[in-house]
Amino acid sequence: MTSSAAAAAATAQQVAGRALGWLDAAVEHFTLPEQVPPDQVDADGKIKPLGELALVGSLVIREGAAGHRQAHIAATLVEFAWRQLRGGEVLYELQRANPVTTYPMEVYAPFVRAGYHHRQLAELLAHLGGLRAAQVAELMPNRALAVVNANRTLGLPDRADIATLTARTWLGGTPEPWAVDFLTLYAMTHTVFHLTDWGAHPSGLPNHVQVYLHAWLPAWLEVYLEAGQWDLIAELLIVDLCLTEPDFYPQAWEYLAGAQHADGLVPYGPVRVPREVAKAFRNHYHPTLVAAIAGTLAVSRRMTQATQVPSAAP
Amino acid sequence: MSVVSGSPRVVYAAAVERLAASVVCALGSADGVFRLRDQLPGSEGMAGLAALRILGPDALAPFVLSGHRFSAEDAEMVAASLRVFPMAAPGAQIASQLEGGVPVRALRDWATGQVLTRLGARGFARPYPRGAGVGRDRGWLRWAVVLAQLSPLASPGVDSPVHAQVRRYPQEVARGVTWAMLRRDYLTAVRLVRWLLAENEPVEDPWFPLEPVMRHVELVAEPNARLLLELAVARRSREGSVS
Repeated sequence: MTSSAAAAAATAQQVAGRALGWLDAAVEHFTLPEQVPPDQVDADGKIKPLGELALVGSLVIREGAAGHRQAHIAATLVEFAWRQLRGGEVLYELQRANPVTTYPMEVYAPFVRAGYHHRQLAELLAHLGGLRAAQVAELMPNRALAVVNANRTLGLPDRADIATLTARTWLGGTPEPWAVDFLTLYAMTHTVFHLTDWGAHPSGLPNHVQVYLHAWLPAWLEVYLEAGQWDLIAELLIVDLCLTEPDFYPQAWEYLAGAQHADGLVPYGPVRVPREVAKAFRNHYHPTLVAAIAGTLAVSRRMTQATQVPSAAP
Repeated sequence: MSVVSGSPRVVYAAAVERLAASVVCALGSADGVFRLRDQLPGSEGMAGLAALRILGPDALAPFVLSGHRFSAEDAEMVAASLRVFPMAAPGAQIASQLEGGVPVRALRDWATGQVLTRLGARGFARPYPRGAGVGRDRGWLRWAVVLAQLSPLASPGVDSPVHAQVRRYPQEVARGVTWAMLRRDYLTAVRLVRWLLAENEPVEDPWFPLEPVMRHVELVAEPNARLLLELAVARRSREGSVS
């Protein structure tokens, strides 16, 4: 395991470095349209990508496992995204206009993780989180866990019963591992991300869920490696890295590295990627970003593993 | 019974399908008479004997699992198939017979001999293939592929080092079932289910229930005789040998 983990981490480091390089080069495509009121900006097409950019940057900074260049890129990505959101003002206006919606808070959380704050937004979120309405939001179980994790990151109290929420997710039910599809696996990955805060707290995953994932993750990886679904593959590799004892899957990392383009872009799936970054961005920024997160976590988990002092023999 | 014409491959495939369908019928009931000769009419000639060799131990399942009487005439049909399509010589393996280092054909022939011996037929037993690996050293996925090819070994009364590995590593086999189900490769999935049913007790262990897998395949898969045969053998194995 040790040598295969080291091999996986070495490959992952290259994947993450190249992915961060592509994101850095393509950052202008994350730009928000000028002079469009916040409530008229395309949330999925514009706001969410900025939040994801902040997420990858905040995780690279948090893990502290990247080289100097990658760490610098991570910081500039978060800074860029924060400036696009006018120092959080856009998120504040969105949250003010839509008090019940949770995505401005979820987008804000990685910025806070990276050290950025917007005082009025923080006050508003503290107020909204204290409402009874916040406890009974009509959300899918894995989405409810996203809100719980965002609250944690923001330092807000959360009264959610995490065990009950977890049990209501697909993963928490530990169902037949063959009774799953592409989208359900995405839901599964996010359950893991939110319960562990992107690998920071593997113990957030109940033991029986960890056992379940060790058993079936290899089968899911094989199926989607064969299908060349790189976005999902990168997410599944993050799931592994959120476990207490990751398996690292060096072969999967090799395939992912093989799918990555020379400029660092990771294709979403087995599709032709346009040459121009402007056109490639729309469908392929996400897998590239996920690959950067996966690679970062792989290096970090491997470093932690390698520096742990083995217990003395009796 | 229609006569299939065309290339040898088409004729042989049709003969295998027909024999498989007959075995499925016979497994469903101990009533009536199941005789190999009736399933291999003279018009099919070589194709019928080839079908008997291809299905191997599974062609004998009605005798082992459903109480049909195995007669000297049935034994002669098997002997005839072996004269036309001889078993692999013990110890002699050619590269094309190896799947990940596992002599699949030799193991299936060995299992045929085991089943025939159990049915009281003499002269068919042969030694276990010398130095045969079990294929697990190349990872769970390749092992699952080999195990699926060896599903006729997952028959009552047959035991070997392969069986021992399945008993020891059932989760890897279940992983193969999951992989095959997600790829809609239901034939491979059911072949692996056979191994889990044959080698693990209790079969209703909640960590990987097998009945829902079989029922799902029955309801979702495009039926064909080979798939139905694997399902029928799996179900009969589960209920236990009656011979």
